[in-house]
Amino acid sequence: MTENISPNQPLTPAVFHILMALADGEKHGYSIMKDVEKQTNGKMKLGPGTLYGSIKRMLAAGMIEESDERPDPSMDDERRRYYRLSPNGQIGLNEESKRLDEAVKVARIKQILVCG
Amino acid sequence: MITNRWINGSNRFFNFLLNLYPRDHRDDYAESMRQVFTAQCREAYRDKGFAGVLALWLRVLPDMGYTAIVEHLTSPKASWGLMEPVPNAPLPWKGVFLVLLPGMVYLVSQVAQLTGSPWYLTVYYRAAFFLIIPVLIVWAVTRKFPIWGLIPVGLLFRLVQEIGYQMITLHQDTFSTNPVLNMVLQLARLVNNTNLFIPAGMFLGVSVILAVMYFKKNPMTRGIKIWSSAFALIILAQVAYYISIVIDIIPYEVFRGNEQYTQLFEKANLFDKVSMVIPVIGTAGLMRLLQNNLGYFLYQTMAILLLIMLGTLFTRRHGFFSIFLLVGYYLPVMLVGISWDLGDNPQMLLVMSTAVLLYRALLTLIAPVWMCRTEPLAGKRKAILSCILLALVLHFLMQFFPSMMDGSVNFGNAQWVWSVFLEEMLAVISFLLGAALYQNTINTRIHAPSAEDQSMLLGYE
Repeated sequence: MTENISPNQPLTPAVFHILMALADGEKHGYSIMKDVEKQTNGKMKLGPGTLYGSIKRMLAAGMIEESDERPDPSMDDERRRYYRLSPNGQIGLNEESKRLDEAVKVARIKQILVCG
Repeated sequence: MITNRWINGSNRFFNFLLNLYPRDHRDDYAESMRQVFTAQCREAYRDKGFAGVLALWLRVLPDMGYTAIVEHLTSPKASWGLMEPVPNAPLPWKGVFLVLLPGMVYLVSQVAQLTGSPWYLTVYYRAAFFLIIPVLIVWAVTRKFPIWGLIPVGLLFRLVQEIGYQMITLHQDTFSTNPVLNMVLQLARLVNNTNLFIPAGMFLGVSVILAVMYFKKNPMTRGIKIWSSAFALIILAQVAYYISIVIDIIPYEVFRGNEQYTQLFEKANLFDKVSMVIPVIGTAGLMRLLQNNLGYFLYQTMAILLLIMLGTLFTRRHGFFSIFLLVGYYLPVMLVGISWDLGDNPQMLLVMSTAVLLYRALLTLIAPVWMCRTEPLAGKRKAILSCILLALVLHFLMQFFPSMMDGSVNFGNAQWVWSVFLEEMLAVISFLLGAALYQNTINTRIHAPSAEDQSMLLGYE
């Protein structure tokens, strides 16, 4: 998580799952955390430190953006910060998904991962 | 909304733990982290009560500990920062302080040497191993090699080189109960104690590989051509010097007791001397004598070449600061040529102490501070090379000072002066070659040179 994040480089699992969470639309920190937990069937539970460390680096790399809009200020805590995927982040997510897809294909060919 | 003493207490403790993070990170994310933790805490209590909160803390505590360290190490504003490359900018003072630390250890230990305390040698042999530990930890955690790790790497390289030599030549029969150390000793024993050409050849081989890698990405500049040629010439000069030494000592080896032959030998020129010696000891015998003397020289010289080339691996991140590797290598150099009793002569003690402290200060304080705080590359180069030159002049003079003062050794001994001169020239040329290589990488890869840098390059190359 300390490496410079770039759309052209393999992403860390935390960064990849955060981008996946934001692929559905903008979300705040806790909502991202819950989404990641759901994506991974509870196997990846991000702590606040890892979540905001990753968010900080992803903002610096231009992969996500902070959103000024609120879904409904009356229903939501106005102090919450929302994040959305940037075009750069979309590229990174696509590239990483393709890379993982290739890896899965190889794993199937080598019968490490059985189709089912 | 659930709230109770477990949740409130957890929130208060979490707020306290947020102080572990650097200020800039807290300013940006503490509020968001607090909100997320509060939400997690409520959910954990709702689902599993106190056990849920406890399980949450078991996850959150290591996460906070690890990420707080990472944020400190990676934030350029944080007090433990300075992992980011600063190829052509002044280093913040906190970075300068970290760069100075290894040198300060030697400076302090040098004071101990001058006061007669024996722990100087302990520091000399141990400091490099201890100083590299924080560097390796920071490198492992951040995956970024810190700028203040360059001097410790140079120091460690020198110590490993010296200990390698001792293991090969002096401790052939040493065994260890530690299996790892014993394996290293076994490897050292594979090198015959008179055949230091094998490790020297290995150093040269790795240096050539690194040079090929370097020139694939960087152009061959005039500066590199000049200083690599000078480096080769100084090696040839040293080889010629060692051959003359060996030929001169042969009479004591083979003509012992034959006064007439020895006198004839002393009057002969170098070629005649060789033709007189070969029938007696044979070509193989002459080569053996040369090998004994040349082996260590080439081992040491090729190690310096290897360190210079290893520096090119650091230029991508640290640019011209890679020259600190060589500063680290020359930092613990023993300054005085011949030992003598300092206690007998307070005036000589004062002169020598001043010289020694000035030498260490030039390498450990003045050069790093001047170089770190100067912005343009030309200024950095001027800073480091001026200090190195001054330090080496001082080193050169101090080789003769004690014997000049007590008259124990004839200062007019040309062979001795020549030997010290060649040694100093090797150090100067090593720095100039390193400067040409590291400066070339900066100008081709990291940034376009400033007008000042361009004028310096034109003048230099």
